[in-house]
Amino acid sequence: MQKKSSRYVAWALLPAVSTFVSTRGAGFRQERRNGRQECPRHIIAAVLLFLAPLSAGVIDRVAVVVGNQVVTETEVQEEVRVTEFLNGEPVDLGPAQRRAAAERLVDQQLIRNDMVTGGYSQPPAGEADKMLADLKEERFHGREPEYRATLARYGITEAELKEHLRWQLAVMRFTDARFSPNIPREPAVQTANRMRAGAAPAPENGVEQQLEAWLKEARSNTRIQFRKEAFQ
Amino acid sequence: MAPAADYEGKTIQEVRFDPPTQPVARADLARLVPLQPGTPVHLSEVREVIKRLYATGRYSGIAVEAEPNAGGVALVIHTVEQWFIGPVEVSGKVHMPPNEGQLGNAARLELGEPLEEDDLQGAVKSMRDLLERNGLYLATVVPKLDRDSEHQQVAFTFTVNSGKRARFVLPVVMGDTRMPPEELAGAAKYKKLWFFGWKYATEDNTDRGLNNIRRKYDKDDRLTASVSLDHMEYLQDQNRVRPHIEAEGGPKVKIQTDGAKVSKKNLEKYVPVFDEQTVNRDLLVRGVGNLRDYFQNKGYFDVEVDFRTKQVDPDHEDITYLVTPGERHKVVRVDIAGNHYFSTDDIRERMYIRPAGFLYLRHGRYSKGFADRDGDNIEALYKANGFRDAKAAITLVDDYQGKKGDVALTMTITEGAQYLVSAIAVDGITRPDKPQILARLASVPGEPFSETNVALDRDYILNVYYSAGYPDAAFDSRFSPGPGPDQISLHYIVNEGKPRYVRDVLLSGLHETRHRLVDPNILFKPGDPLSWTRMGYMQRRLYDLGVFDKVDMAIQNPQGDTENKYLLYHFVEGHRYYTAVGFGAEIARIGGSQTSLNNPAGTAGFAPRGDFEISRLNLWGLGHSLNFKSRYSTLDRRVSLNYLAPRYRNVEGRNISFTGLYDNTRDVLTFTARRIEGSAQISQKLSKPTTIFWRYTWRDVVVDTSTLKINKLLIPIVSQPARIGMIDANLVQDRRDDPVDAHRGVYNSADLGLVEHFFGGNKNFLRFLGRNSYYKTIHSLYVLAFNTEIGAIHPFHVTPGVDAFNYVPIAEHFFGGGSTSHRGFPDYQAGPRDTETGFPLGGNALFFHTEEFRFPLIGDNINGVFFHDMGNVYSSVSSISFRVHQQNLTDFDYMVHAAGFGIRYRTPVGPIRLDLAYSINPPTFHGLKGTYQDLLNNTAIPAIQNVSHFQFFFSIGQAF
Repeated sequence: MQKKSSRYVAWALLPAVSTFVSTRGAGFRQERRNGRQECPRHIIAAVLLFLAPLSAGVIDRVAVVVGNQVVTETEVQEEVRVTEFLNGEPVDLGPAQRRAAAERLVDQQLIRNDMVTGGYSQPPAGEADKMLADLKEERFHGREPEYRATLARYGITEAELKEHLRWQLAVMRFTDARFSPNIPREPAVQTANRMRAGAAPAPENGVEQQLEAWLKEARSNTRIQFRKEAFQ
Repeated sequence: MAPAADYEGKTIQEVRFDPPTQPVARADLARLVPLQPGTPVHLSEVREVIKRLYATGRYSGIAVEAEPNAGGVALVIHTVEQWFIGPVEVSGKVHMPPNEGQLGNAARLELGEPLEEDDLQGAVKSMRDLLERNGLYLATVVPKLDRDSEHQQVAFTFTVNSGKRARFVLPVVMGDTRMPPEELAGAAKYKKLWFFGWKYATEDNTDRGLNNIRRKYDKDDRLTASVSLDHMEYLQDQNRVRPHIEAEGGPKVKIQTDGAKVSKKNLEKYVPVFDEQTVNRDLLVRGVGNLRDYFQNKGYFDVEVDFRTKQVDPDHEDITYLVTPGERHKVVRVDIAGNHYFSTDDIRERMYIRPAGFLYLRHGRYSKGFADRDGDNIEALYKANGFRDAKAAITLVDDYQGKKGDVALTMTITEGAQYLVSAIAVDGITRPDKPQILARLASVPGEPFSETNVALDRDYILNVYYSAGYPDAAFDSRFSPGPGPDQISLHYIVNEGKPRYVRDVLLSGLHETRHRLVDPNILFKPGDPLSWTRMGYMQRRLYDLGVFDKVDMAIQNPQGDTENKYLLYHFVEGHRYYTAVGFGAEIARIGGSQTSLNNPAGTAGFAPRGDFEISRLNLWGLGHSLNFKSRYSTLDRRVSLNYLAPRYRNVEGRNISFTGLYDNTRDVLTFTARRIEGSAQISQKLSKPTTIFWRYTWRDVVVDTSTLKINKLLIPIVSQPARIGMIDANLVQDRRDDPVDAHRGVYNSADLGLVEHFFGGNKNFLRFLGRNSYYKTIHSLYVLAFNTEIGAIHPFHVTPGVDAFNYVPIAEHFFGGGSTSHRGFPDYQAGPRDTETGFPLGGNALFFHTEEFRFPLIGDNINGVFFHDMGNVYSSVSSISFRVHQQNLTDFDYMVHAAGFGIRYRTPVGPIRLDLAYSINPPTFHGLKGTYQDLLNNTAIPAIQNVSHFQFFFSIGQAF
């Protein structure tokens, strides 16, 4: 796999990855399936009514439904905090930031599903450790207390940060394997193409565009609901 | 939300659910929710609990609340259950169209899927839309929901009252119509002829109206016209509908050819401008290709086609296809070269290009399009067998062997190297029978590599998993160059998914049908693996019961991550009554006055008939049926009542039936007989092609003495009432590819019956009838078909003084000859005849043998047949003879030969058949001229009669 510097990953990220890991725009999007609005208002209403008096004690709940999986509210918050930490932005858990984070998490969930189905391998644990070490070196020049204090200020743990970096690595491996122009989306077809003497090479398309198109397709085929109460 | 981090690490004092009753089994709940009192709260664990619970699909909302208390926190898991879509039924006063099924489909409520909030509202709206599209604006749709909380399922019943259907009024036509809008409005023909008023505003009628306007434009050569429905205006006070139609006329486009004639019908077929209703260069170029193929297929291989467009004025455009046909050719040879792996016959079978035939394809079949297609097909064949670099191309040699116009085509195949599988790696299979699975893969190391085999392997492996209850199993394949030259290394990756089991089978929609009928076909019990294959098999079995119009099958909560799932089967019962009325006629040598003795061999006649049938289906809710049939014609008056109990005692393929019959027939010219018959039959399918029938029959046959045209001295003997009690067994083996028009296969049947006093009759004899039909396809176009029939009646305990021939009642004799046995005779005219009147008497034995050569004649739908029929009906088994000469005018025990030609026109109900036969040695015999009264008065005039050499038959279906 192509080697990338941790700085590149941490700050700018691979452009393709960045579209769903950190920089997806906000803007409410109501997903539809088969022309029907998917958001089950009666259920949301029931939950809202049910939970409103208890909201002071609710520690986590469903924030986004992605098919038969969910993203929880604490996950959204963690995504906001880690992303803001990595990008060196101030902590802001406003609705727009949470919404943007939720959109990224939806994309991540879709990718995760495909990784499981396609049997894509995970990066070794050591790679995330090295990436974290590089990050600490570049951002904090080895000053551990400052690093710890910053983590605490953002409300995240090192384990959460490391998991986030590991996930970034996994996604990069996935996009390389799935969308790189040299390795086709359908391996069998490409192999056949390669073997066909004199065959014209498959038209190349940017990884980013391919990933975007794939995500758009995957979103249109998946029931996605954003629960209002999680983004107020 | 509470600051969750505040609770991190606090001790859990209690975990409880709200509501306390949960849809997930307690054991599953314990597995999914590992939070334990006495342990610290970890928010990551809480998150996982929410995810796992939601993934079961049985919840629509989950929130975890922390209640602080003295020693730590109590965690309360609040859940909202998910409901699932159950059966959808439509009832009420539904006036078709739409029918109840269409309304149910319009609801778009998918069985087993999670129920969303807007689903009901959407369903009612869709149904209302459908009703309104069919003019039912006054319809009411009242939904009723029955919630089954045990299974979290909602059953929907929509009560529909269609109300009075609206009729059209004159439509409004808008847009750049290029023709007077009122003329177009009238062309829609929403009004019936004369004073019959306006048509109903159904969807079909609306579409027909739009098509009528399109046709109007077509007639005006406005080929690019577009006509669409803008909206419907409902006139509530009149209950009428005014369609608002958008029409863009476009210019007049005249398409013609120059240089060769092409009919308008063919132009419409080959120039896509007509279908696409737009003119652009791509379509015109496609038209060039199609017309080139058309002419090349007619033998003009050098044809050149081009087109020219001309804008005459803003409203007129001329398109002319310039055709230079060139010389007409004939494909005299099609050769195959370079093939080693496949035989020439194998390749030829797959080619569409053909050399010229005598009648069929008189110039052969060739065009560039066909040549390319054949090349692609042959390449695909080779590639599927590992020849990845195979090439196939057709070359043409004109003026072959110096003969002008003759063309020889050669398909040259360059096979290239055959790639072999070097190794197969299969990952992901954890089943203990993995070696057995691998042993059955189509791709084998050392054998040719083919993507077809990879697809077969995928299907096989997935089928193994689907059958074993792994509905989420997935398969991926990758291949790469192997270590040696021309080698491929295969890598299969199997993702087994999780095993799923049946929680229960939920049936719905059984209103009339009893569970007694359905339950034996329920192949699952709780705990069984959830096998897609078995589910499909079960669905087929349920359809095979013959009482359901539709059997919907689904898994409830299909995406949910639960181990045990409900299987849902929803039935839509079929109609319980079936009626049919038919009219027809027979035209054959069936004529001749009933009182005349002049034409013992029949004359061309016409027999009109009417049929009526009514059936009560799914009787008692057990799938039984009662069927009443009647026929009235000048030859036959018949009523029958049949009771059928299929799958007797739930044994597959075992049917029992009881039949009562009254029949008054003059299908043999010699006499008219009245028959009353009762029978009981049990049939058992022994294998897919083989069925055995056991039957008991009792019948009483009375020959009408006033119609018997035989020697008057014999009338008292022949007209004696006959009661037949018979048991018989009939074994049928049918391996034909198509019973209506067989091309290959075999059909055998053997019927052995015993008629005995013991069974309630007054006669004793054994009866055997056997048939063998054999069909073989030659060169994919021709069919050789053979049919042989042998029959014998052997009387025993014959009344003293009565000969064996006359002992067997005349109505029980074999009668043969005609369109399905021997075309050298009119129907039932073969065999022994009365030596005085010449009318047929039937016989105690028969032998018929027919050979047919079936071949394509004109196009794809008209075939020809050459046939040779031989055989006869004989007075006894010992009289069967292959002798071809009739010894004297009373000798009928010889073999009659006939040859002929027939035409078959292929239709969906079977080929329409016209056969013309020439009998080489038809019988000549003594007969009489006069009336039946002359026979009785001995005043009839003796005359020599004969069966005509020429016979014709017109019917539906092959001869055998």
